[in-house]
Amino acid sequence: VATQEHAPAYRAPTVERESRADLGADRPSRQSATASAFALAPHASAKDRGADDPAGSITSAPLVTAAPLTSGGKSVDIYPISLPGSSRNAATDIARANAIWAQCSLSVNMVGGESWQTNVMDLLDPKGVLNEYPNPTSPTVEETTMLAYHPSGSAIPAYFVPSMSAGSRGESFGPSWTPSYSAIVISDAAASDSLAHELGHVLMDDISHHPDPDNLMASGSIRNVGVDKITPTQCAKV
Amino acid sequence: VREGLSGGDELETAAARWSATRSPADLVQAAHLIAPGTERPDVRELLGDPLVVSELADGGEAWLYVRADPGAGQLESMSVTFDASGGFARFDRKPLD
Repeated sequence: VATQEHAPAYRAPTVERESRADLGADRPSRQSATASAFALAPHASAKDRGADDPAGSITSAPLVTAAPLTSGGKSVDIYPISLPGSSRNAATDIARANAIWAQCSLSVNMVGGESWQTNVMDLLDPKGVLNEYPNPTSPTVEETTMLAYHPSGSAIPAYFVPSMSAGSRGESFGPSWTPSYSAIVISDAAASDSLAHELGHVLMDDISHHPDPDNLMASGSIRNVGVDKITPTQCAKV
Repeated sequence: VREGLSGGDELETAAARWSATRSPADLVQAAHLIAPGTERPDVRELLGDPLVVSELADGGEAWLYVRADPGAGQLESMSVTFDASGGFARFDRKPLD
């Protein structure tokens, strides 16, 4: 059993039952990812966050946009963090997740985002690649170092990496898993529904996969990407 | 294979087959015959050098033997994990996502 020595404090994913349109000025603004073509600019402007940054310096301030919300529905906020070498468009993935999770009347919002200039992927060989866990209960030192950087408040951080050591398209960390995190990792090799899939693991707090290849939560080994069904039972869990 | 390594002839045969074919199916068969607690040098002798060695946060290690490669029809990765004391803990298969 993996220890929690390196684990940051547990933070449950944010799912709001009644979305608000009148967000206070002190809160990060948000938007449905389908509302605009926001793209996380890789490694844009410089901003040093010092002690918050365990393995590098931060190079962009959160990008914030206006915030109309779906009234009466549930919502979850995603904060994309682009690591060096990642070329994936976070907004596209989050927009796709938003469209898929609309089956459950769940709005998936992108809240800000940043590029993180870090050497966290150089801690282990091969360098420049995220050394990934073989099992969620056994995160690597690169992963725990990466997850220790979570500037996203209550939003779920989504770390975009160029590639993963075992060739995975993505992975997740659930709030009740050991050690406990709520986070998503997406590689450049991800499928269009990988972020939505990993978000499902986090929101349902369940590492298991659905046997139906047409289901969003089917394993990437069998899933028919683009069908992405979600059952009422699954919707009830989020 | 060192004397005393559990699994016996069946393990040696499966490991030899894996070494010869590098087929994931043969790795599965061999890995499931390795006894918990088997030391890293013995596992290396059985399975050969891993593709990637990753240090785990709990002090253990993960040795990657099969990388996922959808282009080649390989839809999951395969690793063996050692605990902090260096003993074989388990065999893991991880899907693409």
